[in-house]
Amino acid sequence: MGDCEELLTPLQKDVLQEIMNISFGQAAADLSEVVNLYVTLTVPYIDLLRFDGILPLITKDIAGANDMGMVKQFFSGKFTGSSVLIFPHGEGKKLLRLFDATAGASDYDVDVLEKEILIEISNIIMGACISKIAELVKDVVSYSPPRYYAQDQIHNALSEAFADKESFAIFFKTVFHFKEFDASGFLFLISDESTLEWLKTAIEDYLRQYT
Amino acid sequence: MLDNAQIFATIDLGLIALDRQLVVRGWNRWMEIHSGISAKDILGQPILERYQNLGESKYRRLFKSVLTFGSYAYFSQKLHQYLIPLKNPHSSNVHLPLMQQSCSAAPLRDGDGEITGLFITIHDVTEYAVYEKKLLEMARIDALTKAYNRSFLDKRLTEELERARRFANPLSIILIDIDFFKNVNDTHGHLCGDHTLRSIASILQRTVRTVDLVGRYGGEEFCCILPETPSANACILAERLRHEIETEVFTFGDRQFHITISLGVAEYDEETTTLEALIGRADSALYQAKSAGRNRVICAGRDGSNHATIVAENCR
Amino acid sequence: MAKILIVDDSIVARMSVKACIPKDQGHELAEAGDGAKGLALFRSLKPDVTFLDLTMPDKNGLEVLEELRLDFPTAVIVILSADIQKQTQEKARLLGAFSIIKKPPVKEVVQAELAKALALLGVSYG
Repeated sequence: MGDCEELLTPLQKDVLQEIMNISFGQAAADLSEVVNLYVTLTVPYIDLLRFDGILPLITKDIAGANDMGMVKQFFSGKFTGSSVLIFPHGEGKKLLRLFDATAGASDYDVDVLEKEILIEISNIIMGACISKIAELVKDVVSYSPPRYYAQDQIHNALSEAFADKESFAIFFKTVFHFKEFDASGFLFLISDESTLEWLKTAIEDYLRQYT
Repeated sequence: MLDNAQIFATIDLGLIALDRQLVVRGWNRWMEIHSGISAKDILGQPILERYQNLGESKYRRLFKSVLTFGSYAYFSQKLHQYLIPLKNPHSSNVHLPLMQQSCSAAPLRDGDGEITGLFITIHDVTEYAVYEKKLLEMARIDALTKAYNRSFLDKRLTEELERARRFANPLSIILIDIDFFKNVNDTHGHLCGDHTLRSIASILQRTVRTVDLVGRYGGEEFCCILPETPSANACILAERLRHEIETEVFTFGDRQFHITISLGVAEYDEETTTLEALIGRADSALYQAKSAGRNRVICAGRDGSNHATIVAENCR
Repeated sequence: MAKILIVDDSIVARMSVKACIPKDQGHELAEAGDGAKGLALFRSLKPDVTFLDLTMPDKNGLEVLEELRLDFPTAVIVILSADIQKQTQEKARLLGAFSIIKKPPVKEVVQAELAKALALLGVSYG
């Protein structure tokens, strides 16, 4: 948190927070339009920190859950970085009905289906949130295919991605919740410093409307 | 300069381009071959007119997420089997009439970055799916008896326990042991023993309901998982199993002989929430059936004291 | 003139609402930075119109709205939210919101809603 002041003034940070509230609110609306379900996204938590500070932040949130699945995807454009979606184990199964899939009717066991569902739904959730931020910095973002990591692979994948980097990261966190299925998960977006300039422009644009 | 149209025409992938109204704007040679619809017949037509299934919510969601967010979308074969119903072009079409597909969709944009449509790729993964199905079967089936194997039974029982707990449904299991099986092996040889195990497995399988699971739990032990079944009903079924085996005349070559089984029934309750606890209770009922003279059903008591009740008489 | 309360956790969001309110009508403006402060300020100030954000940490806007309308059934509360899902709008309406404005606020929309609210209250412009 302390590092933040050097890169953004408190006012700029407040604007960024508000812009993200708006973006994620619209993302929730788009998301519910697309999946035809009521989705809530919590007020995004935003921080600027060094890359090596990311892992503790993520693991703090998921500390309680030993058993979980993670989907990771890269996005690139002016807004470049990686998005990480983490579901406690079992949450994906709740979404089976959303995909008209039933475990019994399939050859695959429920864990395999859960993985496939998490990949599909993650792709949509990430798309919704990232596209809103991309819109803000007037950008077109492209995405890498999502990759799934189970339990013991998660920590390695995260440490590999965020270890030993001197540079700053912009960190977004939100909790999404599908009320009808009582299913929730965490979405983390991590972007590198290069995005900051574009975000500052978006911040100035926002302020200009009201002065 | 190479002509990209050649790639579009000859690539071993189905490629479809749609505009925002889902009208077909591109249809490659691969699609022509596998769908039997020529590009000139389908270009300019709404794809929903040809393939009504694409109007279902899961497909709409895919298209909407691409058109709204500009994201790539992936469409898993494991979840959906296919996107466009096409004939399976492989020899596996006897079992699997439709091609199994792994698909993706991505946005198409104009010069201003506005999304004007999307394209879809279709990858034929039928052969993988068939291969995977075989592997999955091998992993869950006992090679000798063709009943489920122990690891699959354990996994399913854990899932069924969770379901019983969540929905407050009854759940029972029957543990079955063949009486004096060693004698069969010693008297008639191991080939006959194997044959007997197979016969018993198939009798058990044809006697239980389709929702029940029968598996080989050990050398001469079988286990049945009976979802949504209280122990009273499980005992009736157990007794039927006992009767079927007792009355069957087993033949191997020119030999004929009789076999009996002992059965232990246990129902899930607050004290048997784990697999081990439930199996343990059924096992102790089975032990009691053995020591009481074999060829009978014993139901574990519900009071958790492992007090077994002889029910075989009432059921007969 | 009217008493107007703005409840939003973001300084900038409050600033943007303030920027949309006409300066020449002599309105008296008050601000609160979270739900609890908003409630307290409402009780002491009895504002004519309240602009209330939905997404706030701790006590969110819907909870504030519910509490306010319970104690002050005639309170005029305009909701500001980026979450424009039908269900969210319906919830706010059921809880008695006067109207719902999509974030980021646009001057014309805020002024139109304010005028409607003041007309209803019969507040005359100074």
